[in-house]
Amino acid sequence: MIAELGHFALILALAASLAQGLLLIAGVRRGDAAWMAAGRHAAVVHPLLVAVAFAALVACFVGNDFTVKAVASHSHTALPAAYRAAAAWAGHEGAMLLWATMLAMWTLAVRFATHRLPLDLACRALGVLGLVSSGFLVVAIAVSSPFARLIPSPAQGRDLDPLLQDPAMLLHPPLVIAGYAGLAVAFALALAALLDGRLEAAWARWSRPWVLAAWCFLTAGIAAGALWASREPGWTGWWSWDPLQNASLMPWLAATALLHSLAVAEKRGLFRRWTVLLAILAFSLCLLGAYLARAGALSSLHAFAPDPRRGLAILALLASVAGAALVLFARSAAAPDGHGAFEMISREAGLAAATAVLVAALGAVMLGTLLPLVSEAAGLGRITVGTPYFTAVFLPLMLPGLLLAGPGPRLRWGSESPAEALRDSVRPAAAAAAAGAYAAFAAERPGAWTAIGLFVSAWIAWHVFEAVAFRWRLESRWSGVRTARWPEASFFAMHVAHFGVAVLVAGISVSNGFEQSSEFVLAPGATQALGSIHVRSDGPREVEGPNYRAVRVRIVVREGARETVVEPEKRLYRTSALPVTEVAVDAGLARDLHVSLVEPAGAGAWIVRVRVKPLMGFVWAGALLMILGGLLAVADRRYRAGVAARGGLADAALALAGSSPR
Amino acid sequence: MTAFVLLAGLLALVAGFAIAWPILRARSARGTGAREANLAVFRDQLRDLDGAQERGEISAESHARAMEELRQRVAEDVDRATAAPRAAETWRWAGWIAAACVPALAALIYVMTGHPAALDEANPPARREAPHALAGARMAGMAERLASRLRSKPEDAEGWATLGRSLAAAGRFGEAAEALAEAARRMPGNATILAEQADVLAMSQGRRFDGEPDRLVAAALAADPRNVKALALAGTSAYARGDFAVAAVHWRRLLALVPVQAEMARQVEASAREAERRAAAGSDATITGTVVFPSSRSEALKPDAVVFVIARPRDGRGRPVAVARLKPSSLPAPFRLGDGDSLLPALPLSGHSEVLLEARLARDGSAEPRAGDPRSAPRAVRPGERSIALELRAPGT
Repeated sequence: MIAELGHFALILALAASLAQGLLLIAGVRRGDAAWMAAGRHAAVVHPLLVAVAFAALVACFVGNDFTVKAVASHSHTALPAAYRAAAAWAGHEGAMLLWATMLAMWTLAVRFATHRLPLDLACRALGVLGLVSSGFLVVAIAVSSPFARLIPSPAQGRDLDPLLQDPAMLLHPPLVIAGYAGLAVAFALALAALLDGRLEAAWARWSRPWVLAAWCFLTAGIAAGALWASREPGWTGWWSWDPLQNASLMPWLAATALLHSLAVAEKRGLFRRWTVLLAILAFSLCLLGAYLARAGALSSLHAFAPDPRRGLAILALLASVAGAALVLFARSAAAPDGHGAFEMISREAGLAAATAVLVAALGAVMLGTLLPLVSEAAGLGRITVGTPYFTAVFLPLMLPGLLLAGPGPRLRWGSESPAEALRDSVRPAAAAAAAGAYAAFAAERPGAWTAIGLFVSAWIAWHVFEAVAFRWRLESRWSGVRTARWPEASFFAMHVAHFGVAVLVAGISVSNGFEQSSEFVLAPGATQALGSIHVRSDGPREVEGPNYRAVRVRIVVREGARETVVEPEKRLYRTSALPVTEVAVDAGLARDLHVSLVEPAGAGAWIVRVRVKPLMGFVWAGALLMILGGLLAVADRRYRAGVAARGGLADAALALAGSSPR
Repeated sequence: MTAFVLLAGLLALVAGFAIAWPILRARSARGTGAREANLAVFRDQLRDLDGAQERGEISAESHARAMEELRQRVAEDVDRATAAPRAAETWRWAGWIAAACVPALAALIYVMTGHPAALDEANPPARREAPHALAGARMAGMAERLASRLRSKPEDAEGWATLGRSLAAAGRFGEAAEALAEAARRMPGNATILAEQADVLAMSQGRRFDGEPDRLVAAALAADPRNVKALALAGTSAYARGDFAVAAVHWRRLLALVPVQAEMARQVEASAREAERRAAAGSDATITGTVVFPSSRSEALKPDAVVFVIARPRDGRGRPVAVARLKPSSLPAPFRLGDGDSLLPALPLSGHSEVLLEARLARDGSAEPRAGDPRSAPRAVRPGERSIALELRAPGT
């Protein structure tokens, strides 16, 4: 019953999303306000129906309804309830439904939060979103139905892959897909503007908070995935340039480029066509990500032969979305692209360079990710593109962009005097040189990339400090120290996010460059040391988990006067009989300590692997700061309703409009 | 069934009318006009600009230039005549079409893709029971129902296969093998069924493949040389009987069929590499274990201290067979003694059926045994044994 109702709600949602797309786009074209109103109703009805379908699928999983094929393939009665719910998106079918759900939630948000956009533009954007949603719903219903049945039903499910039984499974896929689907809003707004034939100021202004919000979700999702990978001993560290990770990095790079280009489009009305192109690219890459994930970690261990029709369906969706968008883009070649002037050294030039660097880096990642797939599909044999390629190509490409992130935000709009820009950079350069020299000569194990990384990090951080200090002096001089105003949120947003980049770069450089690890036999009561860290075993004991049996060793970690307890485990899951190593992590800002069990050495002793990653906390803190920056930017008062300037300023603006040549 | 039709019908009608309502009543969408929306943006920018000038961030000259630019943009974006959309002369009939089409389209697609038959499939998930009891009780019940259904309809090959899988999941491998045999008889040449049958048979005889399981795996591979499960089992069987080269071949073939990114690929790759390593080594004679020194727990050793792990011929005479030289920073320490540590390549560790294993701690690193060196008692060990503990003792204790 629940499954059938969910299936029917999903179909009804398809009908509603089609109505949404057709009524809104045709309604705007005809100038028919009633059709537009009906389409806006559909933009509420369709998300609610998708939510019903999604809730039904989760209910089937939690209630162990093995007549539903997806449940039988990915769940098990002994699985804890939270993982049964998360198993809903472990398979391809559930992942497609999660996509549709996230699109629906963004649709709902757009429906209720765009009252300051021109009505035409908002309606067209909702119409495009409706059509994109119906594309996903068609795929979900026709080739990968989450409610497909398995009758006669098995008595037990095939269980969730033990590797996916991790708390991050609850967070990472929803966040990443929320980010992907959020970029659909930017895409829809861009297409709406193209349909309109004009890329207006209101379009650039109101695209920005949506891109920012989607970017925050995507950043958080990628960070959650990296955190997950860092604790999974079978995966090689928190970032391994795996095709799936790259699939989420590519839209992230495109979205970051889009954010920077939108800044110019909003402030100066320039780069509008380039911005539209980036919005199309970003969402197309999200669809590519959905395609790449088809055969990857999202599919379970048991999905031996992924259905080729599904891949084709997503590729067809990608082709029609990107194709239609590019046709519209080509047709709008006459739309004006602004005509403000700027010089070689100016904020505009800096932002243009930043987007160019990000897009070039994106190209490098795309080449490294798609080449193995293309080569295999073309019968040219298997090639592996791994970390060496990305270190040699991606890092040097990103380097100029990172160097630009320091002085870029301090450049003036329009034109900046080269002498002043140079003077601003003297102190940051000194700080950066000191940090780089420390890594290159003074540290225990110098490395070129570590030195470069610390140089870049100190360079950006010092620039941020100086920019904030400078602004603070300006504000206090202007209004007197006591009443010094806080600058607007977007000012802090930019600097917090860039500071996050500096912290992230420092974390990556140090944790990669100064990682220490060792393996030793740890008998009960015995103590071993790695550098200044002493570990002592309190002996193993058997633990009975909900669906596994485990050996857990209590290990006391002593560092100076501080003592903490970590409990690594070796698990044997009942259904798959796969031994799974559960790493125990003692995390801190200064260092992350990973302790894992390798193999038993007899008499309660275990061979234990201990890894110390200094400054690993900076990687997570950097990601958090970047997200915080994004959230601050969304919270800027410009984007809040009802805070529009009134009174004298408004009159001045109207006067300005009135004086313009007709 | 009736409840479902009522609920689904209600949902469809509500959805259809909720969408069509504004057309039927000729209601207008209300919102901001393009002119006001764009003006609001320019108003904000004007305020930013004035603020920057007041703070002294920009000069009066660049303020004037920016004002001129803003004026141009206002002229471009704001001054366009847009007719406000109207609802009065909407086509009302479109509302009725929408109200009818949404439910009708949904019903049509449901008839094409739905499974109304499943509504009658009684599958009450007994939520109050504990998960384990639930699994056991339901398992028995469902297998029973399936079996009785198959007695009346024995030609249902898929049913037999499902029954077999359910029984296998419950650990009843013997019965599962019989059910799968029934399925195989009705679907001759189905490689997947044959492989599953081989799997449960091997499980029922204690994970051993010799005899019938091996024959079934061969039959499955004959039916489909690219069957994933059959290739995996063929590799496992060969590995279990020590035929590592054959195991590696099967697993390499399997690897070519698995998607590169899948977790399974990593596991198969690891297994294949292990099999290749052991095939290359003849048989794996490596002895592993730990050296412990209970009398001084976790003694910190001097940097030049060396632990020798020595394997001698069984009779204890003649030159050692193999020696490993460890430089641990502390004890206990793991050791590994393989063919690579053999002293005579012509007579490697793997050439002995049994050796005497002994450990000696040389605190100054000297290769010559001294009287005061802590040693372990010699222990007879077969090459290939794992997790050997060698206990050092100071002389005289």
